This record gives sequence, structure tokens and C-alpha cells, in this order.
Amino acid sequence: MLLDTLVLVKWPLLGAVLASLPLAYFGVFLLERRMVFVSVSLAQAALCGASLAFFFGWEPRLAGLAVVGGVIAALALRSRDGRDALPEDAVLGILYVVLGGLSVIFLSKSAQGGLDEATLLFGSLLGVSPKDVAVLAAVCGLLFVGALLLHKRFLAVAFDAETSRVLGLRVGALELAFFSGLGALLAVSIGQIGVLLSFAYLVLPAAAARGLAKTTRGVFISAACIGALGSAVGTLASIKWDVPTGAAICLALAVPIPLGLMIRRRA
Amino acid sequence: MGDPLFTTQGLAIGYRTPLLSDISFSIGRGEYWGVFGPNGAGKTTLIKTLLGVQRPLAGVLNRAVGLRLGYVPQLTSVRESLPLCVRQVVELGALDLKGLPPVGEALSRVGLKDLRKEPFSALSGGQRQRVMVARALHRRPDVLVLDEPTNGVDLVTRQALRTLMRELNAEGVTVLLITHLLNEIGPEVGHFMWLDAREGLFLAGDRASVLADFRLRQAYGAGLKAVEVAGETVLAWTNGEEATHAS
Repeated sequence: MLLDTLVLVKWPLLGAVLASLPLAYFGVFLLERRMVFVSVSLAQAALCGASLAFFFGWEPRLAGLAVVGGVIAALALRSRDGRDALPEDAVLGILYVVLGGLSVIFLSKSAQGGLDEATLLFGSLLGVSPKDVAVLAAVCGLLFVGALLLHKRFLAVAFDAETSRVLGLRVGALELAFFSGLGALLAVSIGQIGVLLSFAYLVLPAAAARGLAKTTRGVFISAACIGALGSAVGTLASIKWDVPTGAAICLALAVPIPLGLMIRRRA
Repeated sequence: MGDPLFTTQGLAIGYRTPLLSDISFSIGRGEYWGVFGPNGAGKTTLIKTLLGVQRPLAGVLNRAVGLRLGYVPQLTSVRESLPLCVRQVVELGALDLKGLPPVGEALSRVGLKDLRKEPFSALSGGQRQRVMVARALHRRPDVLVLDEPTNGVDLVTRQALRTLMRELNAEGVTVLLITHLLNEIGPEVGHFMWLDAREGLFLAGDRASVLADFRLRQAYGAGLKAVEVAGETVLAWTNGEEATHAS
């Protein structure tokens, strides 16, 4: 019975697990750097790009990528001396609201009859095809290679950007590589699993893992395992109780967080 | 003076508009410099410019080729919540270098070898500061720059750091100690930079000449006075809270 169910949902499940692994990796960094709102704004940018694509009849993933790229470039080009007219969180908030508003307007004027923002927001995980999984796998493969090469440098910058600059690490280029990778991943994942689930993979596994593990390696591995396990449990639960898959996975991912917080408090 | 490692001529520093202008000095190999000024004086901006993180707005800045830097930032600029152990923190400070001795050597120097597997976040403020110093020492630096290293650390750690800096300097390491506390600059500090962007003041040279400079008295007026203590000239704030040896 379980095996039959798994065969039935193998592509959606594979897609969810594949998306969860790199998103959990990025999430650990974002959470520790208190930059979760950056990822929300990037997700909103990808959503806006996809909406724009539906309006003009373009390829949604490419348009999402383009808008995400624009937002990353805009953020990267801002002065880094902290003397901008607006603080960074205000800029991200403005981007979030403006891009969200544009998404709704583009979708409302789109020729795609049945498509609404809820579809993009929550995705349609069960509609994930082998082709979608192949695209996701290719992006994950590239990101894996990038992480292998740059992981220690990402850690150095996350721990102490100031010293990294003094010691000659190209902090700006590393930041650009990090957020470009995240942006590309979001542009692809949002088209398949939606904004909510993509964001859940970024935040929830990392939040649980920081309580469950004490070492760097432990936190990254725990986050990846929670992401993968939460995908499987959520997908199976959604089939058993006939509830939306994306929402069920989100809840499954949140389950270990109280456990992690308790362990962290006792340590 | 040893061969010059940093030389500036008519340097202007700041963000977009100059904070301080016409800065000229030369730091020689093996010297011990104290960089002093109140909060907001421009100390960090000057050091960032010197270290190549920030571009000068004007003037000439020459840095010796192949210089190996060790940098100890203020602890507030470090993200302590990252799940890194002490060994990892030290290693992350030398990603660009190969063939370095084991991390334990630098940790031994600051008395923390036994804590190398401990999470950085679990250490006390003083221990964290010592780890940051070990991270800089692991690079085997020619120049060691410390930005307010005694902020928030206990008296014992403060004294231990001061002794370590003195030893390193005696071994030939050029030391730049940035502080806003005049009493942090002990007699071992042979050279002095006194800056205060609000007063447009920049003085640099050997400690006796800087502390005797009339511009310092002009800027601080009745705030400073020279007094004789145990046969040495001591510069003291008139409220008597802080003092330093002038010769």
C-alpha cells in the first residue's frame, strides 16, 4: 500500500526532496546571518517574474530568473558603507510589497484563465513532471559543485566579513555568487513547488537543525535530513488525509522545531 | 626605523566626503604603534583605508609588497551564533594560505589549546577574544592589527593580551593597536597616532613628540595636562581618570 502510494507520487516527492536539500543549505546561512527577509524578497521577485511571463506569454522560469537577477544586482549595487538613505530591511520591505503588487496585477490581466496567485503561491507539487525534476536536478548539481568549491569561503564571510575583506577574500563576489545561486534555485523551485514551500524549506529545517546539532557539519546535515524527511512525511500524510501536499509538507517541516528549541535551551 | 611597510602622503579618508585630510606618516617594520582617538574619531576608517578595504579619497598610500596581515576585529563584528568550533574559527582566518603550522600552535600561544574542539559560541568574551588573536597569529603575520582588542574583556585577559603583543613585537612583528582608551597604550608602544575627526586633528610619530605637540593641547585645551610621575612625564586628563606615559 505504502509502496503503491510512493510510486504514485515518486516525481513530486523526488522534486520536493531535490528542492529541499539546497534550500536547506542556503537556509542555514540565511538564518544565522539574520537575512531571512532577503530570501522572502527574492521569492517574491521570482513570483513577479513568473506573473510577468504569464502576462506576456514568456517562459516563467526564465522571467523569474531575470527579475531575481535584477533584484540581486540592485541590492549588490547599493552602497556598502551603511550610509544609504534607507536601511536595508526597509529596501527589502519595499521590494517585497511592490513586487507582490505587480504580481497580482500581472496575473489579474493575464490571458491564463484559471491561473491565480494562489497557484503560484502554493504551487502544484503533485503536478511535478519528470522534466521538471530533471531541470531541478541540473540546478541542484551546479549548486552542489559551487558549494563544494566555495563552502569554506561562505562560512568565513558569514562569520566575519570584515576580516575576510582585510585578508583579501573577494567578499562582494562571494556574496553575489551566494545570492545568485539562491535566486536561480528559487526561480526554478517556485515554478514547481510554489513560494510558500520554497520559503518553508529555507527557514524551517535550518531553524530546527540549529537546536538539534552542535557542529557546523551536523547543522547542515540535520537541515538536509529534516528537509528530505519532512517532504516524504508531508507527501504521504497529504495523500492519507487528502489535504494539500505543499501545506502538509510545511507542517511536517515545522514539527522538529520545538524539539530543537528544547534541546538548545538545555544545552 | 625598519624598512617602511606603510607610507602615506597627503591622504584623505572618509566615506564620500573626507573625514580627515592631509594624513602623512610612515610605519616601519617591527614598530609598535598605538592608534588613539575618541569614539567616532576615524580610527577604523583610517585602518580600513590602510589595509586596502576602503579607498582613500585623495593622496598617496604605499604598502610593502607581499605583506602578510593578521587582523583582530572588534568582537561585535563577528557572528558568534554560527556553529563553529574554535579550531574552525582559527582555520577560517587563513583560507588563502598553505603550509601553515597546525592550529594548535597558535592556540597554545594564547593558552587555549585544550579548547580547540569547543564551540566558539560557548566561550567567554575573553576566551573569544583570545581565539581571534590566535586566528590572526595562525597566519604568521608581518603586521598584526588589533581593533579595540580589550573591549569587554576581563583584567586578566587584558594583561595577558598586552604581554603577548609585547612579546610578538619583540619577535619582530609590527603591531598596530587601535583603542579609544588612552590607558590601554602602555610604555611598550613606541609610536603614536592621535586622531580626532571632530577636531580635524591628526598627529603621528614617536610617542614623546606626539604627546608634546602643541596642536594636541590646542585641541583639548584644559582637558589634558602633562604631569611628572616617578620621574617620567605623564599625560593626564584633568579629571585624572586616565593617564599615559609620555616618555
